[in-house]
Amino acid sequence: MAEDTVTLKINGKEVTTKKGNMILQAAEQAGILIPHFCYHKHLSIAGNCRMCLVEVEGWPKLVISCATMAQEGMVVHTNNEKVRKAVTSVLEFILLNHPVDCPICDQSGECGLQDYYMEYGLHDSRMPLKEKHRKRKVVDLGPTIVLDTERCILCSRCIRFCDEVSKTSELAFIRRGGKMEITSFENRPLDNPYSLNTVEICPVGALTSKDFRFKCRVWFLKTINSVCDHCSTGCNIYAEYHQNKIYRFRPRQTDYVNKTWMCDEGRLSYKALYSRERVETPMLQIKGKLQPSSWNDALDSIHKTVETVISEKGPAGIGVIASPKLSTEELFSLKEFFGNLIKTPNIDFRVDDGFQTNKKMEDDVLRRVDKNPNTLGAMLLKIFPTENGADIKGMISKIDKGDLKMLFLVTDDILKKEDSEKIKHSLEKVEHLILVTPFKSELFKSCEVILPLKTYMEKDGTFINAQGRIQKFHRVINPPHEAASLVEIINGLLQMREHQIDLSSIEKVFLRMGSQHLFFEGITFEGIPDIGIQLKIGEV
Amino acid sequence: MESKKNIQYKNSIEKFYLAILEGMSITIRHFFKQLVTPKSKLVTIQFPEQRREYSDRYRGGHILNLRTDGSTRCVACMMCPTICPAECITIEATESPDPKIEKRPVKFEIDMLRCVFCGYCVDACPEDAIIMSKQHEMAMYEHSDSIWDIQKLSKRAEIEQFGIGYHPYDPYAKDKKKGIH
Repeated sequence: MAEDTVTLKINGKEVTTKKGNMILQAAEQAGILIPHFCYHKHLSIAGNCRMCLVEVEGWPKLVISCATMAQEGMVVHTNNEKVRKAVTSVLEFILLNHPVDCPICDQSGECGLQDYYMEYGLHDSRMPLKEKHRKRKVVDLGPTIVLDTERCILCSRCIRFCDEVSKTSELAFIRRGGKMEITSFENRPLDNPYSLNTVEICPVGALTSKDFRFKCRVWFLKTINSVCDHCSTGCNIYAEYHQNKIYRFRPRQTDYVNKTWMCDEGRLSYKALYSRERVETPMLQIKGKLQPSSWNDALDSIHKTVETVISEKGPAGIGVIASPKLSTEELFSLKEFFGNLIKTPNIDFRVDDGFQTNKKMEDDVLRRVDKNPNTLGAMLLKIFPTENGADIKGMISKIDKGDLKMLFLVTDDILKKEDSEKIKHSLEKVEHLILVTPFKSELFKSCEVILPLKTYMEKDGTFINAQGRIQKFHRVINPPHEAASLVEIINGLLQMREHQIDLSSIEKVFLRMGSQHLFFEGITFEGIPDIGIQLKIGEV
Repeated sequence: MESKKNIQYKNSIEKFYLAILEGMSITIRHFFKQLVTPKSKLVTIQFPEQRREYSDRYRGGHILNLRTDGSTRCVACMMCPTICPAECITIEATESPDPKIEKRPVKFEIDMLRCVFCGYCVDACPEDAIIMSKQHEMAMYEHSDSIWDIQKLSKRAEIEQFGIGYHPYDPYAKDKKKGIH
């Protein structure tokens, strides 16, 4: 037996756990769930809810398993009659002053009280309705959160989160006994950048998110594993949707990236999908007017443009501006087509300075300065101009000189640069401007072809975060009408040239990536686990 | 072929025309019988001027109950769209100005053409906000007329005419107990 482990018996099951682990943690390892409210994996132990009572043989009283260390040879019972009776009584005390307003409570459906009541309670309240303590309801706690002090069970998870993780300490208890409640000092707002995590860890409906409040009951929501695209940290998330509309993002636990946390900006980033009007069909400029067209006509027009530009100016007459918001596969297929096949030297993705700040943290919790999800992916795939090639700045000046005839622009992120007016003015001069974008843009007037792009919630793919983990996301909702991913668009263009390269499925893209880049070798999309894989990339 | 047609013709005389006369004789017999029976013993009801008494559990068009101050009793808890087997109820919730009520519907619509009148919504409602009337005549000219919105559901002039149908609890019992009503 190793010195740093202990072996104990829980419900007749032998469990070996790390020395210093609590009984609750050891039981969790063995798949035995002990009811709890105040214990949270990534917070300090408070031991104030008393729900996790267990019996240890030879000990005079029941003990709380979240704050009792597992010891060698312990015999623990978590579900015998004595324990169940005690837990039921604890639950009755917790529910004593609870308003039981489940019909209008946003937490119902995922509430700890409801779950444990069904398992341990099923009692009628012995407290007459009139004698229940009345406390403050619908308290505005800040820009993101509403507090209901009546529903609160005083587990102090939110207080500990603000003390230990966000380190802002806005919340505290006031008063004592039955009148005890949560408050922020002098009613100052709870507005730290991680505030919505308090809603997430609240086991009851005391803290509710202003954004999600009353939008949808949780039992209607369906969940799909995904990754947040708001910064280069790439927090693992659950995307939750109902009837083809996303209602919320919730953090998904990964010890490698985000533990169980997520920043507010990322959590609310799903709104960006609905903030701008979408492009629904391909569009062609015919006689000075933008008209909807079929995919075939649009791709055919691009194909012909590429041919004419190459015959006139050679591959150097074509420029490609990608975006670090694209998935790894999309960036790869873009590079395959324009970089390796047509051999244009002008290819770049650096629409902002994310490539310099990719690893830089904005604070010491999660947020990074680089607000693009896949900057490292673009760097690894070398979406840079080759020798004699021009970067974005070079391409703009080439346009002004009239050397660049065709520009393949993916998303209009380039307009976020400081000198956007100048860039816009330059882009108007490009003879053939092809824009691939999910959203309607102010560049539309000067475009020759516009292709509708799927947002990352509408396609399968991967992002490579700042740590070099490749993490996959899945399609959550359906795209509007005919939008396509860039892989599909490039595959269409490849077929027009009747070329051998086959990028018709995501697995084929991975196979090809593996044959060209060492760190993708042997990786398949199917084979990437939900928590992602660390790529062996060394220093980039 | 002709002989076959003749046989068919003879058969039809027996089957149809004789049968019609036989049937008519019954009708006419009853006609005269009715003339001599006293009015109180008649079985025929003169619909729609005269109507049969419906059961108090009759499940007709819905009613949304109001509080005594005129606001809707519904708190948009979404129990009825959850239980509804026809998925005909659409609710959008919002913040209520009264913190004691907290939640209220901005949109409450029932598509009467989808509704199967099972009454589950009435059973599911924790506020006794939705009940049913005895109204069953709901023919409409436009499909859009089949969607009853919150105004139509709460202010039902037809209730006077048809009366309240399925309602397991007296919607105002709670208020009466509290002494509000």
